[in-house]
Amino acid sequence: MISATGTLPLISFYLGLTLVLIGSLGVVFGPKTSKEPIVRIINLTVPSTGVALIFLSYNYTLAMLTFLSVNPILYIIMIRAIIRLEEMGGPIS
Amino acid sequence: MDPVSIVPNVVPQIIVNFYPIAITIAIVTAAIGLSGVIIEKNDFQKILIIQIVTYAMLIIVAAVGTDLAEALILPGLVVSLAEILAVTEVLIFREYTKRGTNPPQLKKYKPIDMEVLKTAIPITSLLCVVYGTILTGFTGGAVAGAGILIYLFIGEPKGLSHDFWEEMSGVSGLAWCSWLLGFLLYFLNPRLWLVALFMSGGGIVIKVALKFGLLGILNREEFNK
Repeated sequence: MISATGTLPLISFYLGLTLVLIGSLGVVFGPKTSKEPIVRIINLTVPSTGVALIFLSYNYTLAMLTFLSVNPILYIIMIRAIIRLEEMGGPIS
Repeated sequence: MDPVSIVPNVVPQIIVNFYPIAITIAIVTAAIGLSGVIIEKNDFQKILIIQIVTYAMLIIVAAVGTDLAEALILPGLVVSLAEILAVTEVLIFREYTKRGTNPPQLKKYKPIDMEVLKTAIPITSLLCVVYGTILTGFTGGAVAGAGILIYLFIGEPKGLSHDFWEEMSGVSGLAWCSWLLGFLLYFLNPRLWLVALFMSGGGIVIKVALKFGLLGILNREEFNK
């Protein structure tokens, strides 16, 4: 039986840790990441979901909300930098 | 000495059990990220990989499991955001200077033209401010600030001059001081906890609300003339 105080924090905690580990491996050593930075940004969503789940298991409401709202701004900044650098033909990869 | 004995009794057992696992995984993640930084040659790709190390830092701070950890995570997030913004900006301008071209001028900003901003009733902002004041704290400040933003976006503010908003920024600074003094009072004299609570809670609600309001007034003055 899944209970909100006993089992759910365990599930979200271990799921979050697994996502962080696998996602960080995917970001660093994943296929085609060294050529396409956009692939790297897409892979980055996996560990960020893991971190959000870990915050959830510790009951950090404000921290999780801020983390979830900071992430899209981060992706916007990174993709803007990619577009600017590619317009100039700069070294992306 | 048993490491569990220094943990206060108020900390739940589940968080004490989480601690070694979280720290181990975070250190492994940080090692993976740093090895990626060593392998990768390109500067921009390194910035993307550094994000992994930031996540490992967040997990280590979160493993403490108290309210202090939550208070430390919030500035960490904002600082990492500002850092990424600054470093990408530096990379872009370095590329411009390498090529010997001037960076392009900023395009003229056009304010959002939405029907809901013209037809919404102003009482919505009043409701938001009252509800935010009842909530108090950081969340209440955000709600009240959203109310001020709505008021500034819809219709013309009557009877509020430019000087009024200048004074409001001063009040925001005073509220910040009251927040700090409230926190100091907790440590200097814990018996006055109720006064300290009201000082810090009231200070943060005024400060956050006025910061949101300043965003709105900046938008109006810069772009919406």
